Amino acid sequence: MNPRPLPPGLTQADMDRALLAFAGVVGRDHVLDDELDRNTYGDVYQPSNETSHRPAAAVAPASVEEVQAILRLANGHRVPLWPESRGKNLGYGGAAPVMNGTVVLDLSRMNRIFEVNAERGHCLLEPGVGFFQLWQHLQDNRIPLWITCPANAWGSVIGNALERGIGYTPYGENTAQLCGLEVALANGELVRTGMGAMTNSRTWALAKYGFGPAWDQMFAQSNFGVVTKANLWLMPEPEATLSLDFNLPEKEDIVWALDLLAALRLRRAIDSSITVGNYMRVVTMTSQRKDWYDGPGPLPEDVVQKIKDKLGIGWWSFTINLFGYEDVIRAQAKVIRQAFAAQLKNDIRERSWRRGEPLDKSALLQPTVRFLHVINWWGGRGGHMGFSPLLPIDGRAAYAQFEATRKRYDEAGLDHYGGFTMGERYLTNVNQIIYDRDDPDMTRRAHRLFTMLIADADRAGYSEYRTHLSYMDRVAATFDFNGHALRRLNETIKDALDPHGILAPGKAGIWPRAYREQRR
Amino acid sequence: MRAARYLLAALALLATAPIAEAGDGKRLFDSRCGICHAPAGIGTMTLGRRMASKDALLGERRDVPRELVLAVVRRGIGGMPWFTRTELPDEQLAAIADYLARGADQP
Repeated sequence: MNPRPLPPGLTQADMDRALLAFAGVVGRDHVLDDELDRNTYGDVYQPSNETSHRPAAAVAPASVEEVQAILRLANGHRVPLWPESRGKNLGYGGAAPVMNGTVVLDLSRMNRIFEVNAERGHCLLEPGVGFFQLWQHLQDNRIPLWITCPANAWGSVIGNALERGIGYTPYGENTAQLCGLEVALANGELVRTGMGAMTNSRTWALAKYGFGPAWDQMFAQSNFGVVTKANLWLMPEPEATLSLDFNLPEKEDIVWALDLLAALRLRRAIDSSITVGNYMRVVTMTSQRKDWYDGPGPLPEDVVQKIKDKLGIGWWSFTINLFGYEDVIRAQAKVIRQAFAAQLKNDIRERSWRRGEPLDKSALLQPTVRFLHVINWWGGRGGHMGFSPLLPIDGRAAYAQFEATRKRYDEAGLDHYGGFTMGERYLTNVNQIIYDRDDPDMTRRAHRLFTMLIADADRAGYSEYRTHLSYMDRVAATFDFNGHALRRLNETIKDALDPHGILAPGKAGIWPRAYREQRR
Repeated sequence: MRAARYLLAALALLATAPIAEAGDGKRLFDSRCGICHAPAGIGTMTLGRRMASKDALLGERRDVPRELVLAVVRRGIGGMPWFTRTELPDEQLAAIADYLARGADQP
């Protein structure tokens, strides 16, 4: 049996005492401390060596009071905690911590839906509530509100919003739908943000900013507190939806298409996230590489052509989804069609849905995990990571970044899965790196590729919006204006709020004083 | 004699217990595993590459070895991630494993 990993400065006896104290709060059954438990709280897609990101144990509270009690004990025992909502941050590290020996604070038992307000379009959730659970709740209670799911809906609704995940409706920037949080600070004190800071507030879920500084985003992608409740805005069920499916035959077509989409998005003729993805996005959903090609290196051009021909897709494909009153979305669709008429040579496929028809026909992405099929691409125990720098919505700039990225994939002998998800004024350039963890050489190549892409993007003036645990320090280092002034600000706040550094050391490259030498 | 009758009654109760568990196992399997192992799920699709389609639908099987289920759920396999004991407690996993193995010992 492997020894339990420990954080710097602690002995096994120290950890034993801390876990015993935690068990006094949550019960012995909810302190998970054997070898198998440690594995299940590790990163299921681990891209770097298997001895990093290893938790010491996990503790799973069921209430805010238990979270507060654990935080106080963790301070006393100097035990670092890694809060996670449901542990399904797949591709970014799963449930695992940055620093070895951190104890996972598993919030998945806190899965209460306190309120759903159908009239005003909001809900109040605990972090353990998943997309499937919330959707089932809305369906079972016939509440006419829709949720905005990410590609992997196995995870937490609040966790996804706090990690700035993306969905595919007009509410697709999930973090922008947060409206007031309840947060346990490192010392155990409970704070409510926004209007919720009033004891008898009636507008907590309605007005985002409150009075004075607004703190919601301070707790997104940070290690400044444990979010124990959050309000989230939900979209009213629309009268109708309309989907327009596009195929762009050649890879150069994104230059004009992105510029055109940018203009439509900026004017809100398009008002939801669109993902323009290459053929890999389609082919990985239903097949494996060996179905098409068994050789080494990236897929040859003739195989790519065969894939496109057989699946009837272009180099790029995307869908514009419109949600709302039928008359309005029909008018939007007309504007979009007119804009594309001059340059698009092939047909636009149209699908429509009206309220009352089966939801499967609508533009709504209902909770699914089918996108996880990508990890079966190579066979073996698959893994994936997303390298996702933010770019301007500029066709030439995006094409240049795409070509530079694809060249790096070619050098690494990996197939380039690339796409551009469009916000209102920026592109999230999602590049999936898919690998077979049973092939150590491939896994090493995937890891090297990721580090090179960070450095290349940095030189081009770009960086990621979110990253895997193994790259948090590298990505944070690219935010280097004025000699890393942002890092100093983050760490000043960190040390003030969390002087013993018990909350998520290393999260987003923010290291507390106690562990600062662990930065890589 | 009366004691023997009580014993027989107790044994009869024990004999029916697995059926009750199997019902619980089916409910748990559908709710916890169905996301991937329902007819159109990625688990079913992935298994369908390696075996006949009737065998790929795990819920229809009665012969999946119990120990295999316990190991796969806690350790993952292929593209299937592992489950923590918080997400799927031991007793729920045991009920699911019993359900998938419900015909394994029958001739």
